[in-house]
Amino acid sequence: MKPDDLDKILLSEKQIVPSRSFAEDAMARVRAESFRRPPSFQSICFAAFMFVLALATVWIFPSRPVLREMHILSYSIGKWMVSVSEAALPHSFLLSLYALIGTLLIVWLSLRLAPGEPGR
Amino acid sequence: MDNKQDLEDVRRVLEGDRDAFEGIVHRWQGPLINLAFRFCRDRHRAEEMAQDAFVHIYRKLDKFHGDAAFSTWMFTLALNLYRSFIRRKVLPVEAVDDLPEIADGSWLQQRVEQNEREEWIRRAVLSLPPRYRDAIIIFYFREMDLTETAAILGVAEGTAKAWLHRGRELLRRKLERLVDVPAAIGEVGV
Repeated sequence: MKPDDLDKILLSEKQIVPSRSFAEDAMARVRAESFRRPPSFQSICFAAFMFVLALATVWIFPSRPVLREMHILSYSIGKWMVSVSEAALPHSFLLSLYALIGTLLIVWLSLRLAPGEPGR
Repeated sequence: MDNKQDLEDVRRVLEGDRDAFEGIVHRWQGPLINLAFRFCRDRHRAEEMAQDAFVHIYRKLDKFHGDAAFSTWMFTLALNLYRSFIRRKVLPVEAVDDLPEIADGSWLQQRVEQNEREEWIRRAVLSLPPRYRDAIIIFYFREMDLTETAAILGVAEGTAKAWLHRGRELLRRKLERLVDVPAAIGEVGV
């Protein structure tokens, strides 16, 4: 096959005319998209608060078996972190650190996953 | 197409006038549907893909910094979306390699009409490795503008040229293996 022949065929593609409702449907989807607002700052704070609360519950009230296991695990991780850093970090400092990391993670995930207006 | 009008609409959308996006949809609906069609060869599916592309473009609008023409940026986003679309879904792509070897060189003339022959050849593009397939689709879609093809693909012009060359070579081999294409193609009057 000559290159020109191939060019002719691939250039002579039939043109699809959009259906009448295409633009309307596309805009309806765009509008629906922009109504899906990202979580407000308050809801992010609330989520962060709940996370801290859950963490504190696990940390302070390790009475139930599952919670106790979680407590042991998180405490072990904390202990390991302390041993690695060779610093005698206070218990409360570690708790605050975890809470801060968790909060940042939640905020970051909220911002990453939230659809909505351009750029949100 | 008027890049100034696109830029004006983008600015208005980013300032909160969501309906300004309608201008972009009206201006670019045809090209985006036609580009999608070249990837799926199905009109209804092409419209669905183009709608997805518009929503995607709307979401990413703040990422457009005007380094390239709006159309180039938009086609790049659409291309990425269409690629992932055809990766996810099994499209009725002609499996050229699976077709039986044709002993009689006049097979095409005897069995299919001229337009069907051409359509079969266009479908054969979809059986190429992705990079060559994309290069060929974009190159002919943008009416053989190599600079814009390279920009949309996000590669240097030399790379795009090499991909095109390789893709066309692969395509020609595939077609020549099956039929006496020169005779058949020679009749095409465009």
